[in-house]
Amino acid sequence: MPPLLLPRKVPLTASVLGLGSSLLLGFVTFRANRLAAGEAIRLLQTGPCGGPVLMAAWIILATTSILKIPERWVNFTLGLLPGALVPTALKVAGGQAERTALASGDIARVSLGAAFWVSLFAAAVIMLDAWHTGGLRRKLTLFSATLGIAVTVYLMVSGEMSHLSILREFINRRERFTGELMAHLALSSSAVGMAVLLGLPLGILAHRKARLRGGAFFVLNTLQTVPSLALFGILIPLLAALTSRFPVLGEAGIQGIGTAPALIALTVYSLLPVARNTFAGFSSVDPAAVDAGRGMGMTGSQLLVRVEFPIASPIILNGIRVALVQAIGLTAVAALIGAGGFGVFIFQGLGQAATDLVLLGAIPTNLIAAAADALLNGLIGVANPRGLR
Amino acid sequence: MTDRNRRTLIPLAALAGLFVLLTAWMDPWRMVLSTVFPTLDKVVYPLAPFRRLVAEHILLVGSSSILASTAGLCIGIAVTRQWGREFLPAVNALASMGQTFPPVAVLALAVPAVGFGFKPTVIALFLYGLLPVLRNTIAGLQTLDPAVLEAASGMGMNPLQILTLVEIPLALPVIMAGVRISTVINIGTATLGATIGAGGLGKPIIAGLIGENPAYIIEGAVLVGLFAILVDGVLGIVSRDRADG
Repeated sequence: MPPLLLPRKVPLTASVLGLGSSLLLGFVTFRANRLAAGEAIRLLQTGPCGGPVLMAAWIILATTSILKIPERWVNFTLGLLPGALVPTALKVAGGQAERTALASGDIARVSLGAAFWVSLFAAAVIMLDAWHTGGLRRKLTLFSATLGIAVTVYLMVSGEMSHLSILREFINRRERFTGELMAHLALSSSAVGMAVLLGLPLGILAHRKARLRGGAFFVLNTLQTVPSLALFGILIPLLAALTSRFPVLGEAGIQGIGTAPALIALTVYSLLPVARNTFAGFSSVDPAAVDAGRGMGMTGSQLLVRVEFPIASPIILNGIRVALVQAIGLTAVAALIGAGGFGVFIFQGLGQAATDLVLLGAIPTNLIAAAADALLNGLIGVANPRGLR
Repeated sequence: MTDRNRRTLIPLAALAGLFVLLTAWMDPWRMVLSTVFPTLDKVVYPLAPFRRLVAEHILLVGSSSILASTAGLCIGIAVTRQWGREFLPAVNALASMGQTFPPVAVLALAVPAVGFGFKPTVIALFLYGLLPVLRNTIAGLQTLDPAVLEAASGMGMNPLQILTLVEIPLALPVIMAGVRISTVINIGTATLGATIGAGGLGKPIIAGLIGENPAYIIEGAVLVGLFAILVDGVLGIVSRDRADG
């Protein structure tokens, strides 16, 4: 008799994780009001049909991952189901929130629970594994993930989920949210912009002048080690002292707290990845390429712009990517010194013990960091000079 | 010990001395800060002696970093073995995605899961500290020369011997670099733990920000900055020593 089982370890582990968490942990959390203690509601205790559908999906995924069945079926199940699972889970949670609102009034809150997040994680693991597997499963995953994200965004925007606690927090602060988004983007991107303006020349200089190299990178490395809250903190009295000594600075809008110390600290943190990678990028240029350019009669600045910089640009962009992702995360901390951004929601939420307000700050911060990461990775692909690909 | 290590040892020892002095002895703080801020009533953080804050900080970072390094090493070893290799691509992808997570977000998300205080901070520090160690363990173990491993098995070593006597010693510099990154990040994130009631050197900084007392801010910031530079330097020496040994 041929063997019946052919365990595919990754999707199997992930779907057991999804199934187990849905059985044991709360899928949504019910609160009598925004700040009351939560009561976990498991998936099968939610509305009439959503729970069993999700359970069935996990069981199908687990069975597919362990049985010896034709590869094409496996590809279709593992490629399509996880992408469909995510918006379905959201819909189930949103439906439960709506029923609760009808039953217990508008003060009651329904938040996403542990089982929801674990399921999301498990589905992501299956998709990542499918992406690596390649072939048909990769294409189907790409299709279902794109569709899943589109449906998720639609559910969020359409107002169908508006009874979920996190969206209630959003609706209460719609204008504030846009403002903090803008503040967050402006602060992190201008810090990285300043770091590029300073770090590019610094990196090139470090490449050309060996004497400067050790000292410059020692200072930047040491500054990078200093915790963000400490650097923000030290800058506050420093800037306050400067503005009281030179009132001109105060008139220019520079204050001890707020944007000025945040921008300085974030620029300092972004400087190391940019300068280090500029140095590494220029060091990676084959001296023969420079020689060839010189032989063609290029001047020093022509060599820099047309030979060295294009060859170094992917590595430099990678430094900018690291700096940008880091700056977006650190901007959230800068809210503590009054610089605005999504950190405002995070720390307000922590202060009020309001989970969903924390999420309203943390999730968008993660999303823009991931988006910046993806964007720069795309640019790196494009920036690779054609001759070197 | 390498030349470079010998050269960094003296400034590092001086820094350690300064750190101990500033932790144990309040008078220099009082003298300097009351001259700089003559208008402040109180210049030294009153709620806890610095040695207690430093001890809390060490406990937070120490426990989470030891846990994170152990777990990162174990997972990294597991996914590079024959039986765990199926997990390697997914773990790799998760680890690099996880590092785009801002540390403060991880900290904030641990609160709804576990509540306020010491425990969620250690959990968040553990989760975030895991990634650099994991990534470097995988990188270190995967870039080993296959010829070396073949030679080891040709000598009659069993897989466990190859792992403990060949692979880990050769990959140790890269692994230690991951431990260093992870620990330094954790010192910074532990400072933010003060916002969720975990104690540590972030406490005077937060208290100073709320009470508009720049002296408290400077005390916490200087101590935690020194602590981070010190730990980074020591781990740098340890990892470079391993690289030669």
